[in-house]
Amino acid sequence: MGTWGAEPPERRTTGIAAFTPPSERERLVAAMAASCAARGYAATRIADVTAAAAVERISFEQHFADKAECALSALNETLAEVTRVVAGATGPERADWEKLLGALRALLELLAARPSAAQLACAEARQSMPPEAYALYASGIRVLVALLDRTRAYASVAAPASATRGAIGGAEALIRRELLAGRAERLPGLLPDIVYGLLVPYLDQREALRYAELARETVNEGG
Amino acid sequence: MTAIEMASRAREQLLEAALIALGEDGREGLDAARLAARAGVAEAELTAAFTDLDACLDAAYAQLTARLAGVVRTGCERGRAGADGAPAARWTAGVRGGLEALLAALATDPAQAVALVRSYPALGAAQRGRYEAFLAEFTPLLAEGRRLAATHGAELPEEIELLAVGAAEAITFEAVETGQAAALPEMAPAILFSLLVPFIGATAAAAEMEKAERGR
Repeated sequence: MGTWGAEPPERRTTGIAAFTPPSERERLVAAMAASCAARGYAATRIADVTAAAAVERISFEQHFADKAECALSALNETLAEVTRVVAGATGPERADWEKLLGALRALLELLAARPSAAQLACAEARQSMPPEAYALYASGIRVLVALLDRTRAYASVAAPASATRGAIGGAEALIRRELLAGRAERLPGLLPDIVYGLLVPYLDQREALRYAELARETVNEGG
Repeated sequence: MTAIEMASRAREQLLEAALIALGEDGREGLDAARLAARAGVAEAELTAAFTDLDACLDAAYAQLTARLAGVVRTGCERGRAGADGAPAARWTAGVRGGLEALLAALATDPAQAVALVRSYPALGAAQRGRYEAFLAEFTPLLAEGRRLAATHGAELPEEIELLAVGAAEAITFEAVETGQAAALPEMAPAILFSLLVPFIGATAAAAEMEKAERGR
């Protein structure tokens, strides 16, 4: 079981002390993410969110100007958590391979533990929400591209500039499929295939397969 | 013109106008009367043909994705037919043919490209599911790449077809989203690299990319 696996899905809070009950604002943000995951952003109404959060409409209006602001808050918090988790797994003392493996494991475990927030960040922000959400999503992707572009230093051929973006897109497609099918718990198991997809544009194919096998051993060991 | 022919023509006009109107007006700015007016038909004809606006949008999207899937299949077949006899060469030529045909179709009509990747999938969870289902249609076209790799002793990851489709989709999506759909054919060689590299590795994919660049 991974870092996040000890707690039930959707019950984690964002660094708040374990026994502090969630605030109204936190409940609204969590309910917005859950409603977007279930109905889609476009079909989500403020009434759905306030009902799920057990909060009055007037309280919603005290925290957020509108639906978009609440959804953007949920997205921002998710991206901040992703950044924190990935940064924590990529310490400067680690080898590049360990950084990549650690970051991907941590990311997949986080998304598995927070399926609604994951769907908001990986699917809704990309295709369904207002332009500000797409800008946030795109900035998150740029960070990942910068992180993974370091692999180019090991490349024996000149891959095109879009190769890293493409490789991340492959990983996103696998993640979106599992999220949309309601199988978030399977995300950590995608690690070997995602490792392969991210490395094969730059490394020798057999070497990429070898790293995928190492990732599989890590998943199987649960360590 | 008979009543049946008139109804059929009105249906075609509505299907043609629906996704463009959705892209320009957004769902909140669009209603049945407005779409009917844009298509040059009576609102009653929309109701008769589709029941309501959402059903009309669904039908238009189904028609668009079926047409594009057909474009890809035809491009694949043409690519394969024009390649030499080796199975690996026929497969890569087929993938290239399908990709180039799709990108040309999207570049020809950028508004339709936006409808495909953004304005229709934005309508809700079911609509986004239809976009993902459209992408999944391409994975069987790539399955031969796995079989060919196995004959060379490489056992590829279970999810390799979706990894490849997702890679091509991400680059294409970004181009459409940033208003560069018309430039997609120029990007075809680089997208081909991302589509092929999971199956044949970086060196062979770079060679196919160069071949595609020379062929442009």
